[in-house]
Amino acid sequence: MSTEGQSRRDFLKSAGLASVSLASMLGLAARGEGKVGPNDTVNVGIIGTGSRGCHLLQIMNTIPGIKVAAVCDIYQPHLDRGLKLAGGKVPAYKDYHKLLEQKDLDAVVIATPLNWHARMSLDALDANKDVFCEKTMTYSPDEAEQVVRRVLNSDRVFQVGHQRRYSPVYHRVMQLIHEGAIGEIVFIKAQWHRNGDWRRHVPDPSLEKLLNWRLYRESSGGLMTELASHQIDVANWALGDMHVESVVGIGGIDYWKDGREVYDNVSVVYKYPNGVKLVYTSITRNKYYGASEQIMGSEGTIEVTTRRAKLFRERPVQRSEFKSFVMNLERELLQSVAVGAASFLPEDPNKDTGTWIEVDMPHSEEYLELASFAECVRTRRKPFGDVLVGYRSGVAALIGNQAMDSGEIVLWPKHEGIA
Amino acid sequence: MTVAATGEAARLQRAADSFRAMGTLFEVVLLHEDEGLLHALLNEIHDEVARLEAKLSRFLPTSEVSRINRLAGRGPILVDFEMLEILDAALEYYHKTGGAFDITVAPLLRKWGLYERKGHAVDAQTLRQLLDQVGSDLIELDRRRRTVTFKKPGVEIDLGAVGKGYAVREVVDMLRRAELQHAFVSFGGSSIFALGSAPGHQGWPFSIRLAPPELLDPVPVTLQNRSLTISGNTVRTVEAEGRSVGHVLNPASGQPAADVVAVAVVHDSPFVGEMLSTAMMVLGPEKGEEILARERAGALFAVRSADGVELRDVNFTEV
Repeated sequence: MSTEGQSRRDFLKSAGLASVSLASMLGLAARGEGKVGPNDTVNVGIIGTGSRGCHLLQIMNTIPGIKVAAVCDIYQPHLDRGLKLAGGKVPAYKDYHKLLEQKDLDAVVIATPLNWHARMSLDALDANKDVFCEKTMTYSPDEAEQVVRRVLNSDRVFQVGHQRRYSPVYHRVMQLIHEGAIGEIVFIKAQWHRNGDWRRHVPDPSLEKLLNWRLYRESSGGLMTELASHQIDVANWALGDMHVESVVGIGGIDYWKDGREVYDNVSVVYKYPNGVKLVYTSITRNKYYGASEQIMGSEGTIEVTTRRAKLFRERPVQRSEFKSFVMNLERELLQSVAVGAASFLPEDPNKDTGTWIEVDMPHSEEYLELASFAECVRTRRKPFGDVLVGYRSGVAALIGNQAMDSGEIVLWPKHEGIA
Repeated sequence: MTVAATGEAARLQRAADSFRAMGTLFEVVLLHEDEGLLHALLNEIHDEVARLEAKLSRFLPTSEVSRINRLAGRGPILVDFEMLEILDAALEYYHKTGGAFDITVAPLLRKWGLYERKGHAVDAQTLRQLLDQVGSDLIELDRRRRTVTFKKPGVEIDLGAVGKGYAVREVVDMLRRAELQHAFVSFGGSSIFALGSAPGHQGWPFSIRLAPPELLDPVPVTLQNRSLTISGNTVRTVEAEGRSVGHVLNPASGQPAADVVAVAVVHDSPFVGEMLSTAMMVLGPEKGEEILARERAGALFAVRSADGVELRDVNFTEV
């Protein structure tokens, strides 16, 4: 595997991916905040003003050059809230088709239940709107294929809501990894552990499936699509934008037998073409480990969350005297190397508590992903978290569910011409 | 680990490795034509050192030493042949050094705060009480039944002053069985064995540091098929009431060994060498000379002098 890993790193370097800087990728460096002219303002319509949509809406309110110019939701209380947060004076729709007809909208943000993502994305592209679609990109692998083909054959900007792609922490981590800081990646572990039933308050039982859509199979892939796809994307990114090759898994509804249809715990193992395995778990009755990924290389491990990252070196630090002794074996100099001394104690001999990776964080990753999206809309550049990023992570999450449902090994579906 | 060719003429491959063990670093350089053998030996060395640490550490509750410390005060404890050999040798050198080498000083080390690196002053009365539990003559070995018994409760053994030397001996034996001719093995920099020669050299030349650089320059040595063991108070010292306490204690008085800053002992066996160097810290050059001669060992002492530190050579250059 070592030769493969080496060529992989060389490839990354030659492709220039290792040197993608956050600022240049975001396209924000040259312009600078506050320098967006009035004609550069991007008018955005938000489809889905539930908790996620409103969160993004409020962030967009703080980004110069973005105007929330329409809101849409089928559920009146959510629509009312969205309208209020947007300032109360923009068009509010119950039917997203009507929003797509609004001429002055440059782009839409789709923050609806999963089963609507593909339909709405395709309709928005047909209406000539640029699209920011929340993860997971689609409800099924077939839909993912459709969306990819449609986007690749259009001049529209399409970005998927993997905010880690815009996180200074993750960028720094990926830079270190692609520079070889942990050697060759050999294994990846990721988890999102919570202790709670993942339910939302429902004012009336008739609204259960609408508001708790995450718990039902007609509208959600559960933990895999709502949580795992983010972290599968981190693994894909670390491995140079590879996609998985196969997956096995076991899931269950074991903690919350409340009528939900999606697993309340998932344990899946993905295999990548280069042999690396990604072991993923998400549970809902213990929150130890939280949401984190451990990217493990031949020379170290990086543990990363959206807040911070730590590097653990696989090899102990060598004593400088011993290093110099080995380097000077054949030289006269060897005599002068003081390799002998009264027994020394290395720092913290029994455990490596790791080194924090220093990162400047001027904005949240969600601010950065939306600011970058707006900049792509203005400049017509391809987003860093583009449709293929969403395709690779999304399809992987979906076949993870297939593997748990069937108890079989599920292979990556072949979509001719898409990688 | 690094493996690299060491030059056309020799065609020897070189492997070097360094890993944590017994609270310090184990370091090794191996030379051989067969790169595969070097890799395999590095793996075996790693396993062997880890095995010995798991057995000899007094800090691991599951070690043999911990088991003995827990139970041997209550009655005879069955031990394996390897532990019997180590304890037997420790008792032999306790007697040969007139009690200067003693594996039962653990209660004293703890009292002085030398395990947790925080110095405590120890008053005379406490010392007297503790000294009651110190002395290897409180260990009873039954070689036939293979048992160890402490004659008093509260006795504890600490193989910290022999474990590294024993591990180096075992590793060197392993290398010799694999017919390796040239290797340099160092445990913590203080327990060294030089097998054969470094490429292009006769033996293995290097320097040893016996005192801080402002007091004493490193001393150049060349070692071939012998061990060199350094004991010293230069590294592991703690402060107690304004005075620096070294980790080598005089078992007779319970006080830190005073005049010797460090000592390097050359001997055929790194196992014996480590016991002798510990004893020499306590005895000093005058009292140690006769023992060194009997053991066919040499020693280089760094001792406190009026204007700092001076070297005292006791057959060091001859052996």
